[in-house]
Amino acid sequence: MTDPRPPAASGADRASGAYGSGPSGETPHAAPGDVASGDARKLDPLGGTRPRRVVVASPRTRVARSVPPPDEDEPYAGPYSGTGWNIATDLDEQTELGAVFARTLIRAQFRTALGTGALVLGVIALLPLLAFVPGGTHAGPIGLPFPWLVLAAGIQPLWIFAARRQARLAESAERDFARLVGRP
Amino acid sequence: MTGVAVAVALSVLTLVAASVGFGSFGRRAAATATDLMVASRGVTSLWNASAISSEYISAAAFLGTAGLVLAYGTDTLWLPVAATGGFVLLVAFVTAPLRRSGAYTISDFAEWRLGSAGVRRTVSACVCFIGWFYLLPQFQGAGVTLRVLTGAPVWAGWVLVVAVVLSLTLSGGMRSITDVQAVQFWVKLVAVAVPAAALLVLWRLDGAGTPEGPPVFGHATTIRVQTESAVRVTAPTAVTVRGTLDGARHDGERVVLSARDHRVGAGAELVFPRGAAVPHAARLPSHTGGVWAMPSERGRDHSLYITYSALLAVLLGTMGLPHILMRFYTNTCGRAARRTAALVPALLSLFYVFPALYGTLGRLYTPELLMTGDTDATILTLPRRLAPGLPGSLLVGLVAAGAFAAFISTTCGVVVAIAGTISQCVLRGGTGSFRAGAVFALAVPLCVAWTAGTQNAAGLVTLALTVSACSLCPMLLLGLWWRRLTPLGAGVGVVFGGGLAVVAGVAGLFLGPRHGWTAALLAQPALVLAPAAFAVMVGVSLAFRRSVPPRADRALARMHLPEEVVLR
Repeated sequence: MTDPRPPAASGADRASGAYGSGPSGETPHAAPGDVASGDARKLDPLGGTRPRRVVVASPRTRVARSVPPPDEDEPYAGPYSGTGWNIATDLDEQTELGAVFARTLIRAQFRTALGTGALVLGVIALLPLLAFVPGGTHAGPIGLPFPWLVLAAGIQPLWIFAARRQARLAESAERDFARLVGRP
Repeated sequence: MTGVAVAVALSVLTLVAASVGFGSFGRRAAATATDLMVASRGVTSLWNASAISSEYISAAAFLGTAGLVLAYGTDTLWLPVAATGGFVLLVAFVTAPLRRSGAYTISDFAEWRLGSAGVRRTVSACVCFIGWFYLLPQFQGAGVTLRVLTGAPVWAGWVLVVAVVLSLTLSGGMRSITDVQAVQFWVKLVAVAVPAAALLVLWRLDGAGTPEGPPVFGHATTIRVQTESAVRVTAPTAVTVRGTLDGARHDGERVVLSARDHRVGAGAELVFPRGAAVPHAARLPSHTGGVWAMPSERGRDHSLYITYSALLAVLLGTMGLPHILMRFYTNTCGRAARRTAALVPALLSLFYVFPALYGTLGRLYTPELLMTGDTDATILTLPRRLAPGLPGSLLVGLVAAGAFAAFISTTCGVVVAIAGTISQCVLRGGTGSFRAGAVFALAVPLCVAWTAGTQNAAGLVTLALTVSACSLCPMLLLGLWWRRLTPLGAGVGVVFGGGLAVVAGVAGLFLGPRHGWTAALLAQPALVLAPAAFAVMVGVSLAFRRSVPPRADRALARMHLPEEVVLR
């Protein structure tokens, strides 16, 4: 995520929320050229199919160009120490944009957790239906009744799978978020 | 019998010595109260998951589940399934954000998240009640174990557990307890798995029937009744009686028991012939085989409600157990805590197969427990019955060591949780107040342990889980995920749900059995109270929405953002 603003912009500036809805806010790792054409598209009052090219001749271009590539492997050295600004600064300063990002992650995590919760509750709610399995009272292959086998060993693999899946999904969401805000 | 006692004593002593050895090994650094509790956070996921499982596998899981399966049938296996499912919910909703909040106890969490000392005190009181309900079955299980094995009075088991736990908590603190807990999980697993494997082989070689037939005596059996009790006979049975039966004295005469309830006097001896149907203690259901194998609680009032309510209590209650939640503080970060929690269902599933197996084989080999009502002793009696002589004694010794590991580890965990809460909330911290809190935590349940006499251990644990499901679980879930929770809403909800659940639990302990909806609601209130507690918290929070703490957004971000992007 890059944002072509000068690094000196204060947190209060960004808190207005106007920046959060701009096109540059939705184009991860946009190259300077992309930014220019995106702005041009937005500025075109007629909304024509052929965007008009404009030259952006301001310090913004220079800043955007100097943002290091996202996969560069260097330790984080503070929000303003490098050449660019990133969303982590917003998170630090509790701006509206930062809050929007945090809320997005929380919603996504909550949806994942709800899926797991629904699975668990659904299985638990269905358990009493085992009483209606035909022939359930007869001994199974090792001399134990079928419902016994289901309850003692049949449901548990499902729980193990659900727990592992939940942990994996939540972790990958967190990893994506960390990469998105530039603090992997 | 003496051989068994010696084997038991030796194995228990070895175990205790090993525990204390671990305790003193970790004691080097336990200098301040923080050291005592923080456990220096250097524990791997699997090791911590073992410790958590160990803490969760209490007397109820170890002895109670087998007893329930023996008496009530396959449907009681729902409870272990729900308990394991509860840990899946814990992975999904609680562990990572709770760890990132940096709160040690759940009271710390409540105060940090809602910024209110009042909520903290409410939650602390709730933690104490849950812990005390949880300690009761541990004491009871220890008492039954020692009585069945050595004939010692019930309180001897309580005293033994209290003494060991006090010495462990007072000397080592949590670092050593994490090690002790983790070791004890594997001790317990071996202690149930080895005898179970042996019993399975013996059962197949033996060629005895399958467990779903009505329980009968496999050979001529002499039963000595300890206390006067009522038993229900389902078919006319000829027995030899020495002692009081239905108010008349007999001295070795042959009596035909008709199919109705009979009263057997204390100290009476009844000799049943081979193949006679087993009478049941009047408070236990007398299932014929088919009903035992089918999972449904037929023959009880409002059985479907009771079933679902118990399942919900176990499922949600697992999420709010203070001593389990505290364990995740031992992990270094939220991600490690989540991985730890994700391992727990696997460990628990592995363990829970065995109590179920014992209860099932108990129907074939120890049916007389149905008559004496000591169903919690199934695991302890079974090995000796199936393999008489030295092998049986050794297996019993192994099982007894596992059982005591269960009592001690669970009691330790609960005591540390209560003591930490009390010392930080009431006594304002410090090593001395932590120790005072530990003594207080053990004293209260010891005073009421005598009332829990005839209750099944698993039933008592469900009480604790019900309180947790109706109070701490809603507070925790809403606090972790809902920005607009207010201190007032959380406090009122915890008092409402937890208070009513405690009242229902105490009423169940001290009042006699009841019938109809009152009985069902008092026995298992979770299905009504847990949603009601959620509703109260949400409703009150929305009604007084001005008092949403200003730090709510920041707190939520802190709990859910990964550590590497955490706010600086």
